[in-house]
This record gives sequence, C-alpha cells and structure tokens, in this order.
Amino acid sequence: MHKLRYLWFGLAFASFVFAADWLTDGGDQQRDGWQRDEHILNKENVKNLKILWKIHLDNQPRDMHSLFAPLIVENVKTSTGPKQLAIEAGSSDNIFAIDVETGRLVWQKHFQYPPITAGRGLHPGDPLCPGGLTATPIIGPADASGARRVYALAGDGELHTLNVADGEDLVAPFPFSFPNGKSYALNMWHHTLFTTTSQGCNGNPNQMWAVNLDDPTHKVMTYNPRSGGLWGRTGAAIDSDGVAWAPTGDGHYDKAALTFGNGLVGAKVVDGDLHLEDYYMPRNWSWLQKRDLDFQVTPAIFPFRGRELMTTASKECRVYLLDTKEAGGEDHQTPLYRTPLLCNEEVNFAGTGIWGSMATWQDAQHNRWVLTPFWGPPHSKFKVPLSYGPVEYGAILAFKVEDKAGSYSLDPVWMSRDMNRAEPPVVANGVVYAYGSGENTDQAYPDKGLADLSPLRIKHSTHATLYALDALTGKELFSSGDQIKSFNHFSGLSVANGRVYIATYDSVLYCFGL
Amino acid sequence: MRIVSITAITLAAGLVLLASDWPSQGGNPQRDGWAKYENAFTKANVGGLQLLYSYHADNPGKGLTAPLVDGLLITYRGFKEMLVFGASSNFVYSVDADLNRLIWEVPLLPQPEPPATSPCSGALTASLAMPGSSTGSGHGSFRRVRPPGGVTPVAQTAPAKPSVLATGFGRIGAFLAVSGDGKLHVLNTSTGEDQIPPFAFVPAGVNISSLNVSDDTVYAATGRACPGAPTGVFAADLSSDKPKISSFLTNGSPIAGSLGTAIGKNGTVYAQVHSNGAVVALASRTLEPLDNFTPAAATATATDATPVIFDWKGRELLVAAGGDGSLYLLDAASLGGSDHQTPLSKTAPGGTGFHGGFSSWEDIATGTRWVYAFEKNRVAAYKVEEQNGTPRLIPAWTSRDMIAPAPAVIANGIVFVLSTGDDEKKKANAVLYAMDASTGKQLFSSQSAVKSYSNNGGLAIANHRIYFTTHDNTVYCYGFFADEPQLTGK
Repeated sequence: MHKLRYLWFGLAFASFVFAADWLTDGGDQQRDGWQRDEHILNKENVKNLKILWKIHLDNQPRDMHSLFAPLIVENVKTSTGPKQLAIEAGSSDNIFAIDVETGRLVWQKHFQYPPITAGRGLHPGDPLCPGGLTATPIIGPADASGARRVYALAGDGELHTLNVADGEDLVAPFPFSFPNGKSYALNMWHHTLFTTTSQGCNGNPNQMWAVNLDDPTHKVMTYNPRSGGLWGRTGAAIDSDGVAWAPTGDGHYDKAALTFGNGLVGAKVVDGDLHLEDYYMPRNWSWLQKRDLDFQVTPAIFPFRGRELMTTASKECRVYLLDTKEAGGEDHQTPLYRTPLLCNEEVNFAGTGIWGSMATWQDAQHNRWVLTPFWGPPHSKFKVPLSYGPVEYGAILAFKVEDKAGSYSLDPVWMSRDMNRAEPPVVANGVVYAYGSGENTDQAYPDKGLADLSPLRIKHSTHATLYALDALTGKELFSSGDQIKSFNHFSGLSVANGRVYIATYDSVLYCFGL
Repeated sequence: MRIVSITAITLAAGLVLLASDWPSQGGNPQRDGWAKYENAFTKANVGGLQLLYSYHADNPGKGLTAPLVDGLLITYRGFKEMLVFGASSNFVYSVDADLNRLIWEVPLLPQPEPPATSPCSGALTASLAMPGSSTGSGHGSFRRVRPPGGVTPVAQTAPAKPSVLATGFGRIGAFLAVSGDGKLHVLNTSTGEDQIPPFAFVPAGVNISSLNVSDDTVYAATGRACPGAPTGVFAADLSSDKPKISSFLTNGSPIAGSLGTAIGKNGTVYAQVHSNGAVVALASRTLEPLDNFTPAAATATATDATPVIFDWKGRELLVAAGGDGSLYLLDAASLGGSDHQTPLSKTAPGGTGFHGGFSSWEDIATGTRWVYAFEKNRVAAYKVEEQNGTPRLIPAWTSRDMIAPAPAVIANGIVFVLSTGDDEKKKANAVLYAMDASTGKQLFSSQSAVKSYSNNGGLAIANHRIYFTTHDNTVYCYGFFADEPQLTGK
C-alpha cells in the first residue's frame, strides 16, 4: 500500500518518471534530500568534479540571506527550444532562470510592490528578519502540454504563479503569507501550497499557511501552534496522508492552551481549513526552551517496513525517529527512538547543534539511512564506527535505521570529515553531497553579550566548501577546496543530471559537474 | 523603560521567558530573603526535596561565600543559569547551575603561599552581588524576558553609555567582588574577567560582609574589626566612568550582621553599628548621614544582625536587633522619631540575642507580614500587627533546636533555613530545614546529607532550586529531579 502511494506521488509530481528534476527544496514533498534519478555522477567519477560555470546574478543580499537552493527542471519548452533550467530565487524579490547547459541567464523576474515602510525586516543588521523573499519557490507538476509553473512568494506576501519557460505571470498574484514575514520553502500537496513563518518578523503570526490553488477565492488557511516560529530550513515536510509536519522552534508546551512550542506539529487541510492533526513534544521541551535549543529541523519522511517514519532534530543535538501515524505515541512524547547527545556538549544556542533539515535514503541492500548535519564538535561520549579526523566545526553523521522486533534505533555508521558549519546534505547515486557554509554563526560575544548582527557575522564568514562523500562509509571523494569564494546562509544544495548546484552570499550560483 | 518595552514585544508574540535571580545574599537590597516568585515548593511536596548535586570548588583555602544566581545569562557559550560564589583564596567561581559544571574560575589576586584564609589577612570574605532583586521591588528587576522567535539584538538599543552595572536583555552583566587587597572588581558575567581595572574600595585586609547594590552603587560594610583598619560603610558609585568612593566610618566598630547593609526603596542605606546598636540612615551613593536611631544608653550594647526593611501599609518599616535581646521596629522614614531614641515599638528583652540578619515576607492571602529572627539555637517568628495604631512585632512561634541558624529564605509559604553548625565551641554538619512559615512545623530536613558546617549560612533560591555552601568548599543544590531533565537524561 505504501509503495503504491509513493509511486503515485512520484507520478503526480514529475512528468517524466526518470527525469532528474529538483522541483522543491529538499528534493521532494517528504524533504528527504534524496535524488533518486542521478545516473551520471557516481563514486568513481565524482572526484573529477569541477566548476562547469558560475553566474553572478543581479540580486542584493538582505542581511545574511542571498540566494536559495536552485530548482532544476528538465525539458522546459522555451522560445529557443527545450532547455533544462535552474530556477534560482534571490532575497531581493528576484527569480532567475538559467540554462544549465550554458550557464546563461534565460529570464529574470523582479517582484515589485509598494515599499514596506514599517515593522521588523527593514532594519539592516538583523539576520533573523531580513525581509524580502525568503521562501524557496516550488515548481508544480507539468500540465497536459508539459508546461510547468513556478510558485514564488514575494516579500510582500503575494504568491506569484510564473511560467517556467519565460517567467511571465500566469495568474494574478494574490496574498498568501505575511509581508516581510520570513516565510520558508514552499511545499505542495496535490494542488495545495504550504509555507511556514517564524520569528514574528514584522509582526507575523508564527504559523503554517496553506492555500488551495484550485480555490478561486484563494482562501488562506492557517494553523498557529503559538510558538516562536516554524523555522525548519525547508519549511514543512508532507507525509502520505497530506499532513504537513513542521518544527515549532522556541516556546512552551501547554496542551490545554493549544501551545506547542519546541516540538513538531502536523497539520492537515480538512474541509477547507488547516487543522492540527498530530504533534510530538520532547519530554525535555522545557530544557530546550530554557537554553534556546529550538526544535527547528524540518523532518525527512520515508517508508520503512510497512510504516511511514520521519526523522527530525534540534539544536540540543539529538536525532528523533517518529511514526507519522502516531508521532510520539499516545502521550505525544514517546518517540520510536531518540539518540543520545551527538554534539553541543556546551549546550550553546548558536554555532552548534543540529540546524536545517535532514536527509534519508535507501541503499541497494534495502538499508535505510538517515543523515544529519551538525555544527561544532561531536559530544565526547558519542562514538561512531567510522570517522575521518577530528571534527571542530561540524560534520555529517550517518545512521542506519534498525528495527529489532519492533524496537527501533538509529545506529551510527559514519561521521564525515570536519566541515565549517555542515549543511543539510543531498544523496544521489551512492554519493552524499554536503557542504560547509563557511558562515560565521556567532550570536554572542565575550565582550558584547548578545549581538546577533549581520555585519559582524558577514565580516567573519569565510567561504563555502562542497564535498562529495561515499554514502556507505563517509569517505571524502571530492572537495571544492577554496574554489567557492563566498559563504552562504540558510541556502541549500541541488543535484540533478550530473550537476551539483550551490549558491553563495555574493549572489553567485555555482554549477559543478564533470 | 527598556524592560517594559521588551515585555510588550514579547507579550505580543505570546512568548515570555521568566527567570529569577538571586542577586545577593538576602536576595535583594532590603535583605528580606523573600523568593517572592518561587512557587515550585509547596507544603505538600517540600518533604520530598532531593539533593540534586554538590559541587566541590578547587579552592586552595577553606570556605566559600554565599552563592548568588544569575537566572538567565546569554553568553558566547550559550544561555546559562549561573551559580556564582567567591572563595577565601580570592577565587571567584561560576558554575552552570543546570548542569553542575564549571563555567569559569578566576583568581582576583596572585595566589600567596600559603593561601590567605584569615578574615583579616587578605582573604575574600564578602559574598558577591549583582544588580537585581528577588522580589522585583526596590532597585532592580527579578526577571528577564526574551523576545519572540529567538534571540535578537534588542539590548543593543540601550543608551549610548550606560553604567557598567546596567542590566538588560542580552547585555553583559556584572558580578561585584571585593578582593583581599580591598579592591572592587566588576567582573564580566560571561568570562569572569574584569570589565574595568579593579580599584581601591575598602582598606586592604579588612573583613567585609556581603555586598549590596543599588542605584549603580556598590556598598560594603566591615563585618568585624581588624587591627588598625578603619570600620564602617563604603560606597562605590559606578554611574560614571570614574568611580566615586565614599565612606561612613564608625570609629573601630564593625557593622552588625552578616548581610552588611539594607537599602530602602528610595536608595537610603541602613546599617547598624555593632558596638552601640545605633541604626544609621545614609544617603544613596554619598553615605552622608541622614538619620539615626540610637538606643537609650541602658540598652546600647553590641548587636550582631543586619536590619531588614519591608513595606507595611504604604511605608517602609525596619527591624533591628537590640543589644538586650529585644527587637526594634522602626519607621525607615524617621528612625527613632525626633529624639532618635524612640522606636515605633520594641519587643521584650531576653534570650540569647539575634545573629546574622532577619527575613521577612508578606502572606498575600492573609495580608500578614512575617518577620523571622535568628537566635543562637533557633528561629523565632513574629507577625507584624497593628495595636492602637502602632505596628508591633508579635511572637508567633519558635523552631526546633538548631545550631547557629542563618537568615532564612521564604518561598511560597515555606521558610528554608540552614542550621549552619558553625558553633563557636563545636562544629557540626549543616542541616537544611524547611518549615511551614505560619506555624514553624518542620516539613523537611536534610539530616546527615551535608558533610561540613557552613561559615556563612546564606541560602539562595531561584528557579526551583536551593543552594548553599559549606566550609569544605562544597556547594549543595536541592530541588526535584522531576524538574531537571538535563540531569536525569529524560
């Protein structure tokens, strides 16, 4: 039954079953970061990766945000013939389409709207609320003619529906999210779009948002867990029943008050409204709250031996395994499994712990793997069979999901080499692509106290480094060294058709390939 | 004003983080020992108090000061609840109160051989202090609030040049300490490093009782006379770049009590002169004499308790010890009336006299104001009642036997007191007791769990935990494991 469901999802989401597209942040609705259709890059040749092209895009960074993970779509019928395009979103309300064969710009779109003159998001220097476009767009399924639409959320909260082929508006923009409200990557279930917002930017209610694209009234449906913000890097992950799962960041847990901070909530559209379907609250949520160890990692959802599981994490630096059908069991606080502390021994809120999103894949032997990035050194008590030198700034950890008579576990297999702020990885054809963002993640200083200010962080950031690792062992197969000249913040990787994409703060999109 | 605005932002997002401090011995400038907002302990559950952990400080000498708690500090190493105390050898320690881990330790002076330990030989004697209050009244704040959606640089909007003692969300705070050479250290709360060069504050080698802080000014009082050294109250005004030092000298008499000074809501500083029992009111910052209560000659004998100040029907009252074993109730606005010898009321003399200081709280449910005094071997509880228009201290109960009980902390209708075991003739292990604040009924005893006596007896209560130190350089922490997932791994 589950296999059938996933097959259906795949067919619904891609016009060509074997096309290697990357249509949404995290790769798919489940946010598993797994590129199943990569057949060009492999363990043997990935060492030969080089920069095929790079392009500087006309986008102005806003605080630390600049370019987001590009979307890759094949066989787009442009006026100059079918092309494989990279759709790149920029923080200053820009969308760019680049021909991935040539690295040349095909079209660009700038969203214009009356200036927002009040509220948080206008103050340069605040990395939490940059304003502008912050949600990675999404490319919808192809219609009967093969045409596709890209959905993009402008900084004024209006949803734009663009023709992927030329960037023209296909539908009049309509309000979806909050102006300068810091929305996160769009996701789609059937014809319903989802996003999440956080940090109360510009006064936004920190919540999950949904809109049915077939609804002519464009009714905006919301669910608010009353927390500090749903700031999972890739927004919400959607399970096979259409439940959108998002971490809630800071906050308290008070079931009676319908308050679900520092947990994971699943909401579903029912009868035209977005309702809480289920939730998971770690038993130590109050500890997470006290030390600002937010539950903020977008989960990755995957089938496993007749069940549908999801994995998520927090800055505390534990990885959780949950069942999408009963997250946390009857009391909503009992995961299938919770790892010991993997890192963040100092219990810091910044520059350490697990941030962003997860990844998961299945190998040829049907082993299910879970991957997590983490920042800072590993916990001194955490042991992993394979590792590659001391880790100071971050790394990728790989686990196998085990089920021993109904007792689940995440068994560590390997820990990668040191990476300067390891970011969520992508798995493709037995290779894990990961990168250290090079971002300075300090938010407090011995002599200043709390000073999470973009200029300070930008000044002390370095450059991103792309790595390719053997997915079974974590062994380094490729490093970009210092070829990438700038860092990035809250961006991501895309992999398709023999190319690996990474964008940086200086508004440059890099394409690596053979 | 800044705190108010942050609160407004935070409340708008429905997200508030409260954290209590225990910023000085006695909890606040008034020295009432009232943990007003602590509600984890109840008469029903306090009998199940558990020893959460003990921390042994690597102090070359013997003896630690009473601890203080910074309930929410944002450091470059993370959000911390910080337990801070000094050691006789002029070290200051910061321990992660949640995890029982050292955060930093700093020596304030080069370490001599052997280490200084004698109160008059250059040891650190005064409990540290930071701005704030356990009751939220007077000068300081009991709470820190946190903006929505993570941390933001709100504090950076503070005035261009705030005092080094200014507080605010995300700001570097200050722990105040006096080293054995008499210098005042303003320590960076995140690192323990001096924020400004230490400067001469009190005479070197004197014995200082616990520090007090109000109005950007740090106060110290000599706790016992050291040969040849001046005695009195000292003030360091830190409101400007150049500290201004003031003093009120007492001609060789130390200041009574283990808590040094008590400070009223308008910043007036009160202290009792040990030798003659005179209570003096001194101007904020400058220590200019404003008023005094001088007992009649017949009862003007040595006293050993720091006065306590509290609100009573719209005015501030003050309790001070009489040398004859009585207690004086004074109007803080007019000590001793026009002749400076007339208290509002006085209890009957007798008993063994009072030591250390006092504790006081108001039972909000009944409107009853309670005062606790500490005799050599027991706690004595009084109610403040009005009789014929005059407030009086009415004896209510006395406790079980204890050995040199120190000033208590009151939380949620429970009196927590440490029987220090620090008897002049024979030392015994300290024992923590919890008692019904209205009846004195014993609700909890640590029995033999504590392995040494305590030379200061100062309790600190904040965020569901109780702390005290002992002579063997150990800090004890009591609470409930059920509230501590980080300690249990659950």
